[in-house]
Amino acid sequence: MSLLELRELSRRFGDFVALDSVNLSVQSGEFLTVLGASGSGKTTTLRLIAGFDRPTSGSILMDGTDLAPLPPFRRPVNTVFQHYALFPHMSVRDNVGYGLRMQRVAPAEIGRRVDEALAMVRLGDFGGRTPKQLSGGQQQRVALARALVNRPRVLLLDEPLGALDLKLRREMQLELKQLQTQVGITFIYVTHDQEEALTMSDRIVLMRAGRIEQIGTPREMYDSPRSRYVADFIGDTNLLRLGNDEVSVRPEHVQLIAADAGGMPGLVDAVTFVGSTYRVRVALADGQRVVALQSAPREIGQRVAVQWDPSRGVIVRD
Amino acid sequence: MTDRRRPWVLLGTAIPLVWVAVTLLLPYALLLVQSFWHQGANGRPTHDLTLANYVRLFSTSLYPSTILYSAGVALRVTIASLLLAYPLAYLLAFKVQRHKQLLYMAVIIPLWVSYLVRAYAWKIILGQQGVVNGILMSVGIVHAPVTFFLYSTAAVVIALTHIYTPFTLMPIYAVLESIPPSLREASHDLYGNRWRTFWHVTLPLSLPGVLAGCTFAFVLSMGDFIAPQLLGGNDSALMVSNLVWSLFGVSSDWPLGAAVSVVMLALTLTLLWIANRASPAARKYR
Repeated sequence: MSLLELRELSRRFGDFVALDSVNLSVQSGEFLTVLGASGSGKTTTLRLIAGFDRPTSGSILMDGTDLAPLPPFRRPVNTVFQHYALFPHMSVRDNVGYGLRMQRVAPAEIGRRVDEALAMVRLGDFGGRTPKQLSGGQQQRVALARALVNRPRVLLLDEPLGALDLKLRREMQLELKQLQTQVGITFIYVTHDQEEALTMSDRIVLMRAGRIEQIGTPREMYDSPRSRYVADFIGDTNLLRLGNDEVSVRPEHVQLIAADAGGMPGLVDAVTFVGSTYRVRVALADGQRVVALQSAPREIGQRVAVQWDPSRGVIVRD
Repeated sequence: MTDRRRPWVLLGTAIPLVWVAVTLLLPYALLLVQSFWHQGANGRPTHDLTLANYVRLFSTSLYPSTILYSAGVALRVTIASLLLAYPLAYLLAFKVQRHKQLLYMAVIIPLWVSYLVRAYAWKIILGQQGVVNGILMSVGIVHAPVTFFLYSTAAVVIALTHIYTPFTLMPIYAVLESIPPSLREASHDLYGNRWRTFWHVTLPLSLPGVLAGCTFAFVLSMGDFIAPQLLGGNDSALMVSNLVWSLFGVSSDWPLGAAVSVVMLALTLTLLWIANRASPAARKYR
């Protein structure tokens, strides 16, 4: 069931088109990631849904009602900000209870729900602290609790893990995904990190220059990129010009076979160890290069041929 | 840092320190010593140490009452400056999109105009032939010029407020500018409307600037003596600095003048100390 629908949504800043007639339908309970490089319009999309910015044209329909004319404090959505935006002059408890206080919920219920929310993000003992006294990861969880305690229809997350180090980021990815499944709230998650998008999302929206380049499940985006941009943006790939077509082949699908066993001949010209596997680069006769992931290393200068299952070679448009 | 550069660093630190010592600390020290000197019968101080100046200061009602009166004027100036400066700083920081720097300069530029010009300007505006009376008479609200505008406490408060509002505005504007926009957005996002966002987020976070601005306005206007003289008129509107001025001038009673100055200095330092103590509380979470 479609919960939120963007219709012909546009935002222009002077001559710059940040968002160009975007149509998007968000399903109830899904984890949707809006992925894109900086300037692609992903943050603009989020700010329009939150209400921090007004669209130049188009509508934002939730259950058939247009949110576009409403100020942010009248929208049933909450946001987890990029740098958390916790109120520095309030305790963790007061931060988490802020939204409920603004909605004039009864104090007893506020207390109960704040306790619940803090327990949910495993910060039950931290209520009396100030945000400054917490680590980045803890602040991140307070920001989550502060938004989720309001039981929003849609939770908007603006690169929430961007400020964390890689290890913590991986942990938080899993935690976020579990939390989302547990509370069943629709997440719209903005990031420029394709790995994050692949890990967590039910669906990914890849944006480029204010437009949607492709929408699909992580599997679809990875296996069937529609354009060279998508193939290049999501995961590692080889982009090869074969005749009139451009073909994308993932390195793990490239097989190295004996030079005279068919396939495209070439010379191994670089080998790097990447932990579990080796990245073997082959220079083809026409000068194009192909990277293959191999379990065993190869000699540089060795003559080989490359091939792949035809179903793994995806023809992409420009 | 290499050892060769150390002499230059020392010199660079020493010169300002010596400057401050000679031009600021030394005069204060002299003032303090002088306040214990004895005022001789011939009008010239002798160097015998005495507490007589302080006894006279606190036993003559003129001095305590003038100090209180000055504090009252300073308090009114502070409140008026705050009421003017805060909304203006708020507009500049959050509402004005274009020409922000220009508008800020427009507020600050009076600081570059001579103090005397600004004080005299109010004489022209409030005087019997002044702008206010001119408007009132031409509209027909009054038929003869109103005299109480000028030479009154109100005139002094108005002029001092005009003169010191920029000092109040600057720290408030600076602190408002430093509040990340995402905090106000977060409040809006969490169902706080504009007023409640101001009350629960913007205002508490701006208190350090408010405190700094109020301290400026209070201390500066408390010590002012030109505006009271130009616009206060009669003796009842004189401020404590006017007394100090005449004690060092026409009355030629330097020891008593020094004693009054020392009391003023002590009061001001106490106030700054309180403001300083309050400000960590105000900026506890920043």
